[in-house]
Amino acid sequence: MKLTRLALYCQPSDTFRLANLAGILERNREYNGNFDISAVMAMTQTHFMYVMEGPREAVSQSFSQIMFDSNFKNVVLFGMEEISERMFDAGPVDFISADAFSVEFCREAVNMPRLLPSLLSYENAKRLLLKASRKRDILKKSQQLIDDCANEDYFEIAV
Amino acid sequence: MKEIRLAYYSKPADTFRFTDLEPVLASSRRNNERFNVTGLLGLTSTHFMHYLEGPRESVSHIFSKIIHDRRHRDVTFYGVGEIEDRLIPEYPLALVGGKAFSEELCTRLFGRKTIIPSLLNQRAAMALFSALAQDRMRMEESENLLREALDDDYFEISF
Repeated sequence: MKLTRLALYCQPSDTFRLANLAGILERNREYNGNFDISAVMAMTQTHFMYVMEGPREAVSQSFSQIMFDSNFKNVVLFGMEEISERMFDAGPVDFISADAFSVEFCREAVNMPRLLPSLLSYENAKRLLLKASRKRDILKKSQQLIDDCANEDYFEIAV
Repeated sequence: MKEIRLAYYSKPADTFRFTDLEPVLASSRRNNERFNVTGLLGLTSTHFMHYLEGPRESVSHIFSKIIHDRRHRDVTFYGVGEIEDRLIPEYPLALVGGKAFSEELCTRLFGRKTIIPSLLNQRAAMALFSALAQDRMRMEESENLLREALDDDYFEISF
């Protein structure tokens, strides 16, 4: 089995609602859990960023599902590589809200005052997501926000 | 502007015919030219092997079209990475047929007599694409064979 890591960024589609997120995460977690994929999904004010690690075929298939998901558009690959071990100590999908990406955090992680995914290299994207995913308090708060919003119907993606 | 390379293998759909290749190639070449993407499509007796390189957003965009194409299935990544120089800068999409995957080449690159795409790791796949990109004679031969076969209706993709 070839273990791989893949990272991407994309935009929410025009019809995306924040209330969709709970369902997206639930489906994604179920699939990833079944196929031994661990992943981190982050939201910025404008984009989603996603990194996943797992068997090559499963990661490729999961990527295909993202491409077919009408919640997302303009999917751009940061990179994909074979790895000897996982870097992210993540569950099926750990979620990080935009709150995590403060000016201070972004400066420290990638030397940018704001998070602009299209300007990040693959290495910087990994560094940023890894750093954010290690903040357990942020993960907990982000998940709580999703749970709270599940019954709302915000258009904005920022939480 | 970040340039990347992307490589994957996939299986032809059950309904795929060899003669479907011509329109696939024609539209792919038009799209690749439009988005400044170059690449190489290899046909083994069982799989497609595809290598693309160009601006990150363009390659991702082209790949999103590829993944939605019902003429193939089970798309599996070899890898995606940032590049300084292109491997095959002059061809929007070069074609190499089964004969290019000679016993001599396969033995030299990965110690097997035949090409089995799913067994190749990222490094072996990239070495193979590098070797194929230099085989101009086989590319020309493959194009000629395709032209000659256009009036036929082979089911087999190998030639």
